[in-house]
Amino acid sequence: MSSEWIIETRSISYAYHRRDVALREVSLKIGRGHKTVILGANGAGKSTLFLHFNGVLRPAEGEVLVDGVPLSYRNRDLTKVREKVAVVLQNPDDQIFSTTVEEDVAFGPLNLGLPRSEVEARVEEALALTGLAALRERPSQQLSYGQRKRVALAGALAMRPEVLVLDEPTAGLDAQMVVEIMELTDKLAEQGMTIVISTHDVDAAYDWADSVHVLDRGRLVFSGTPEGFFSRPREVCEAGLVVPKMYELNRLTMAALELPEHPHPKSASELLAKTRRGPSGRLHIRTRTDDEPLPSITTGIYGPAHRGTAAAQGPHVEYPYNGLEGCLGEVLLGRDAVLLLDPGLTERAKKKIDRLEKVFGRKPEVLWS
Amino acid sequence: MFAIDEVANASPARRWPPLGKLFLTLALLLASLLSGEVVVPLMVLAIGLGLLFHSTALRLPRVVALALLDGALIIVIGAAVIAAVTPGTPAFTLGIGQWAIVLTDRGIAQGALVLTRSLAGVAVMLFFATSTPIPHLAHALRRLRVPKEITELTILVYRYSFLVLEQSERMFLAARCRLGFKGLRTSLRTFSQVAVGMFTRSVEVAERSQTSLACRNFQGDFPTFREPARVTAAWLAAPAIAFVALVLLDRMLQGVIL
Repeated sequence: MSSEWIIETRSISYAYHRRDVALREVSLKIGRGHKTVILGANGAGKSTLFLHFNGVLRPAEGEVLVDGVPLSYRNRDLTKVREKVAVVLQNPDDQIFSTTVEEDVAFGPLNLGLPRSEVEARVEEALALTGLAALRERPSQQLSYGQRKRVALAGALAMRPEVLVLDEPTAGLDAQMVVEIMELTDKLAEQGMTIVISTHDVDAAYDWADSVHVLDRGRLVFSGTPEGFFSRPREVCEAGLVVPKMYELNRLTMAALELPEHPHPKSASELLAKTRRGPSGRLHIRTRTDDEPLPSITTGIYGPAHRGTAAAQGPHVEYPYNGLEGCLGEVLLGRDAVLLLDPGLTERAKKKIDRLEKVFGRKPEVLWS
Repeated sequence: MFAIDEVANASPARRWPPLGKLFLTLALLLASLLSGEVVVPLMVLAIGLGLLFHSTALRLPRVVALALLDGALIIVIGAAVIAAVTPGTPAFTLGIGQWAIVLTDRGIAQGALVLTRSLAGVAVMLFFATSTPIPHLAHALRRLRVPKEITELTILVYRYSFLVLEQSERMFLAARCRLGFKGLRTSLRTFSQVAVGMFTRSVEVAERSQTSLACRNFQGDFPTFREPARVTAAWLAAPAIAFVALVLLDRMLQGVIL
């Protein structure tokens, strides 16, 4: 029987060169299928912690459990763990060894000794997921930083891990690429993959994470929900972080309107749902990627499936990125909107719409096609 | 380096079996080196230029073209010196003021041979370099059963040389932005600082790479996913035939030309 916690650390400590202490008695649990964020300032120990998850580093004290089983550091056992837990390092140049994109993506599966057909299938799948199919034969040194970052991610996905650990996945990327990466992680989470990321981007973490763990100079200072952590401004400050803009905006707006801070909206559409009353518009959600003409109303795109289609080039596509947020905002303002939804993100969209009703009492009319 | 790499990846001859290209290059080089007359090196030069034209359409990046011209100039000067210092029957006298340079018949023949052999060698080697990306070369080395360690090192050196190159470019740019190349003394100091910085950063990159290799289940070698074309019997026969034909031609021409 598989454990509820796919990764667990029990009081682990680690010091580089036996003197520079990086982790001090860290105990945390990562839920299976959860989206978890590890927050912390530079040097807090996030990357060191990640390298314990797949056994690259061995704790000086304490133990790491994967799937409820304590890690064994024998080579054969580590191979299995690294197949299950894929870590993507912050700098893609540290991770890319092979000279072409597809060679690098195939590196991990080939190391697992998989049959050729299986390697081919995994490479195809990983390249498609990361939007790199057209660049498969390109030399890795001729790619942009963002493309290299995707290659590193594709290399990890080709291992088909149960847990994907991403160290600062959005660092150094442009805003649209950040949205694409976050959409991809949502899609993978919807397929049941456990995603763990470290980030400085508290705004992205606040909306994205199911749970957060906060490190401060090697110590774990908080484990719980994002709202739970950011409601403690002193601890946030001591951990070298800042409160997310949406959290602060809600606090100030509610103070001005003399309304309670709770529940905490995580996005602009949720803030709108909390503060604005009145009739909602209708949200048309289309998952098909055909070229059927769209109604002449505001359109948004959520997920990569529609982004390259003719419909995505239409004159009414006002939200080519963050389409779910944009369209929900329009609908809550009483206007109709069309959302071109990646089929792999259906559950995520439903969950977000349900939350509007359950938490904020607003139920937009949704028409699926 | 970036330039040659780009040319090699875009070359139509990239699809040819790397081992076949290697055999062809070696056969042509050897035939040229073993020749006693200029005809065979001239033929190898013509073949090399033809192959180079096919591989690159002679659209070589400027930096590579300049380096080649530079190399060719050195070869020409070297050949001229050989022609001038080799003893023999005077055949040509060049007067420079009160000085006279006497070229002998043996000297001219020797200089011409060195010149044509060198240019032929450059053309043929350049064809190989501009049509064979390093991973293909590594694959050829594997096929030749060159020790695994050497092949893997070749790949790693190739990959990381680009990273080091990028890093050094960034460091030079950063130094330039802060007047690091103002005057000779400052420039020399900056160069030395960049060199030391490159060394320490290379060590850091090596450490991080070690971690990353472990994360990706590295088992001690770099497996090839997309193998280049395999060498066929025709690719083995063609270099052998070319070699034998050129050597025989050279033997037939011995004593005929001079």
